Amino acid sequence: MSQKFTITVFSENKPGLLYRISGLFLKRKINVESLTVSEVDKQGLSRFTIVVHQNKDTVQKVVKQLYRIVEVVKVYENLDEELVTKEIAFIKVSAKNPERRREIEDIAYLFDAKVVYVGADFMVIEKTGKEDTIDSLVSLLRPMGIKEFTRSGRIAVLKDQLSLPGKFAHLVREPAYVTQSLDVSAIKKIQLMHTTTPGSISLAQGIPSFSTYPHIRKAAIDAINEGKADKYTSGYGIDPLRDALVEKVRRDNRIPVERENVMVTHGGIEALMAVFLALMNPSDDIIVLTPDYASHITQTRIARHGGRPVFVSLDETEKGWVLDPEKIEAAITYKTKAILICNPCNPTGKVYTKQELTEIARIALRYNLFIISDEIYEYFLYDKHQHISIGSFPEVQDRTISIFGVSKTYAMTGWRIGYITASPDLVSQIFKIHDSLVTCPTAVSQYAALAAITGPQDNVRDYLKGFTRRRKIVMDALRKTDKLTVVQPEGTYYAFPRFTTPVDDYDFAVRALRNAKVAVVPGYAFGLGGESHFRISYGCEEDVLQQGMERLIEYVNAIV
Amino acid sequence: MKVTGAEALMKTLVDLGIDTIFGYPGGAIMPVYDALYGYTDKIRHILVRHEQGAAHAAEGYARITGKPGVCMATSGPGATNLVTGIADAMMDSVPLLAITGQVHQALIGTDAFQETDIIGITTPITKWNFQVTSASELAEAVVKGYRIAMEGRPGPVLIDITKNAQFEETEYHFPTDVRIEGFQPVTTPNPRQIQIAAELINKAERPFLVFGHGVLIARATQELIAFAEKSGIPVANTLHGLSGFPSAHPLYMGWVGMHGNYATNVLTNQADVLIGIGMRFDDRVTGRLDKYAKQAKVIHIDIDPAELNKNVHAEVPIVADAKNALIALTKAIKKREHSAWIARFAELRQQEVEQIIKPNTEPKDDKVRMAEVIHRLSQKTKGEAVIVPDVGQHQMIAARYYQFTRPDSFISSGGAGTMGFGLPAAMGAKVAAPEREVICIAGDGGFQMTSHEMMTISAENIPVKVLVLNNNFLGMVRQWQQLFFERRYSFVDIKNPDFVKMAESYFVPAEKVTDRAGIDAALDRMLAAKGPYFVEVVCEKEENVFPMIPSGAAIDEIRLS
Repeated sequence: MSQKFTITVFSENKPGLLYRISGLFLKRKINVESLTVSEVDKQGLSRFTIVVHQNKDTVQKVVKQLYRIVEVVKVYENLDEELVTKEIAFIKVSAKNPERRREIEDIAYLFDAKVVYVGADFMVIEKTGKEDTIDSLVSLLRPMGIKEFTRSGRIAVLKDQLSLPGKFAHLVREPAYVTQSLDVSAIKKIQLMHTTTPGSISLAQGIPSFSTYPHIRKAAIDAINEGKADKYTSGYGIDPLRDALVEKVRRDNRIPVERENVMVTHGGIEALMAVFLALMNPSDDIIVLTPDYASHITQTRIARHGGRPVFVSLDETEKGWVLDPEKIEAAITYKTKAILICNPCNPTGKVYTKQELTEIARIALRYNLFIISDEIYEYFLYDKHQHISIGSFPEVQDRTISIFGVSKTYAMTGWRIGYITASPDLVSQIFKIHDSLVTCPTAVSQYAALAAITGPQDNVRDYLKGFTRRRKIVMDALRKTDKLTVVQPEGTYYAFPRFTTPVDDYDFAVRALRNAKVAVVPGYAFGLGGESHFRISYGCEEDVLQQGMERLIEYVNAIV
Repeated sequence: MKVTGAEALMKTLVDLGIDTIFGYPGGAIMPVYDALYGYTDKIRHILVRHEQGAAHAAEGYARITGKPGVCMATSGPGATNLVTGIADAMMDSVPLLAITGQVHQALIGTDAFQETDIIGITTPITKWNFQVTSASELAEAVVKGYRIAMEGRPGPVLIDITKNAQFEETEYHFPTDVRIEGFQPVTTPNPRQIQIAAELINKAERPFLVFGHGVLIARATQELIAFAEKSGIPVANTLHGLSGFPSAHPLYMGWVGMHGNYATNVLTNQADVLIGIGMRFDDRVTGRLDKYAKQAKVIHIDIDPAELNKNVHAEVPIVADAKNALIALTKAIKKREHSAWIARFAELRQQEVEQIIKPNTEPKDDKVRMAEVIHRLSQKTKGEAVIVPDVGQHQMIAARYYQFTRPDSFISSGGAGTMGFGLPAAMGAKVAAPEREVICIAGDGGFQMTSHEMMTISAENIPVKVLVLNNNFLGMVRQWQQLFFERRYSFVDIKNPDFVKMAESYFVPAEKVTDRAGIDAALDRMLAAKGPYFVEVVCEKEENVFPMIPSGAAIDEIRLS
């Protein structure tokens, strides 16, 4: 099948190279659609951008032969979707009277083209854009009489980072481009500013104020004293813990797992990173239902060499945050590999209904996608909302990876224990990444987690009672201003209020910290649909929360 | 120390270890020849009679030594006369350093006397070319060209030197640090690929190995024998692989391709694993591509990545020098035997012996066959001579009936099929290997294309033996006209000069054989001669070369008659 390929050739800048390169195309009788040559910033290198319509096989043979040319350093062959491309065109159009001139101007305006010169009876339009846009513009202008037309031919840059071997390698002594392109998470940034702002209250980071229960601490101390914590454990986690998790997941999540379905991780965050790295190729797309936990977004970008996830935002309605399955389907392309949900959702407090999860399952089946479900807040539910694990749906059990943890449930954020459940064949693949990242979860923490899972569960109820009271503090405070509106959280310990008139949420968060000494996380960090929002974490003590909310509301009322 | 560009060229060549140049002087290269006058103690210059001869002689020289052969010519027609030889070297991966003079830089582009854009002309047929316009560039360009010609997959390089660059003065230092960024051939195989290949080989039921010129270029014939003996795999070669594996070895099955052996061609299409080493699955080898070895998993080893998956899909492509690849593979495989599979080669081989080989080497009638002449030559020289055929029927006959026992003994124009190649290439080979018997075997057509080089071998006393098999036809074309054009013999019936008189006019002793009885004695006299010697054997006019895979047919549709 013939396709449009852009071949990018980097060569030493020497005479005769154009001849050698074009000769290869001549030899195979390949018509070159466009060819541009320029010097690149690396001294002494030329860049050839050659566009051909050919089948892949022939193009690959040409590429190999291009490498035979002694001066050629690197060759890329790319399809359009892997490139950012543009070309520039000048169109000299006949314009004998003012009406015609206006008409041309209108067309130029529509196409975002510029009038660069006006002569006695003609105008020169400049259009920079994709080839087909230029073609359309030309066909619209043709009836008016085109006197002259020229186009530059394609220039293109790769969406992925290109690398040049040999003597140029040492010029790139810097961290990976992906890393450099990542922002420090807004949560961390605000938290950092909070620690350097004396007297400020943080409603930013999602840490429950509660302490780990004594029986859990004791189990850990015992494990240390008994010498159980000295050595590596199985990378999958110690068997008693895995067995306890099997029981918990079967009971509470209704997912029919066995031991080989379960892998213990270094907290939920390591579990997620391992899952993304194990499942995603750099060119695969992942759909993230937003607003969503900021680290999900960063992690998927790292796993995919910087590629941004595809955001599908939930609709914020009076009834709550609502999933629109059609929006997901509209976002799916042949590159889509997985859907990521956070249920209950940080930062919106959204708890997915059975109906919504059924829709997600249906879509995943229809388009053959993985479902990655982060359920770290599974026990923090209010007002009779029920947590349903999508992994319990029989039709998607083989394609769902569920992530859980003890950090939030048992106030054990410092212990770093999470776990995943998935089909055994996926678990064994994810394990390869997990093994490279951490070898095994911390031994002592596993014994603590075992005690937490198998011990009395009163604390979970206690925490929930506490969070319910705190939620009331937050909601009551928010009612004291008409500048903000909020969907009452159905789960988690976050509220995600929105300004009734749009504001720059990052700017607001910075100023609230500076002026009102209260830290909240700006909504943009949570992806599409987060704009003009900020996140309040009500994990902290009630009196602190009370004071923080008062400062916040006072400030909101004062500024807007 | 300041020297002229021309002298810098001489110094560079000497420092590179070059001691032989085949060339022809002319206007735009006169400063170089002037410098050469003072270097005759270090460099032997052989004055050919036509520049094409210089290029082919340099090819013959390179194929014996493995180092670039050097040919030199002036600008314009001198340079264009090299073109056929350069193209031939490109096709057959022969390292060649062609040096041409060019008009003064100031005259370039003015249609000056003997100005030709030789850089433009040779761009598609060189591995690299470069125009030197200043003496200061010269040494580096030549060293770079020498390395490019020889390293990786070898090929021809042309250095064009303007007259001013030859005159100008420059400081001479031998450039020891020449960097070529885009040119870093991969020579060691990927261990993972070797592992995968070894697993395939260890499991194979009917493995078959076909090697080519690359094994000889890599000087890997011993490694090949070691691999074959451990793996027990039957071995065949391409035309250019001839002499790379001892003919008498029990694992040697013959050669493949249009006029190759019957068993090797037919059984290629029954092998379950096909290993190609240092060969490029040329159309003369594969016949009809969509019916070539479709049942086999192909392991293809070549130093040129552009060859892998070019014609035949390789299950396991390996980019490497043949020697390194063979050493690694030999380590990775198990010792095995494939006697039942080899027996099938023997069966088919017997069929070929009875139907073709015997009737041609021991004919029942009194017409002299080309095959019997070669057969006797092979016996008389114990398979140890360097055979340099021209192009045509006799070339295929020489390939089929000479039983090679030493590597680097078959020097032929395979890819380009250049008539006129034989005599000058034999001359180059003899200069490179004076201790070996070098025999040019030519047809009556091709011989006349470069027969003027008889004067060169005579004048330089290069003891090349020339054996012309004269059937008074352009035989290969005639064979095709007979088989595929209903015997419409269009311009193939060639009128010949008196070859003996012709040779004698070049002061080369010569004789003509017209019947079977005279063959032995004539060959004996030829082999006994201390200097160049010429023998013409008048052969059966309409002898055909069989087996033959008709053009466009599958290899297992090979015809025995």
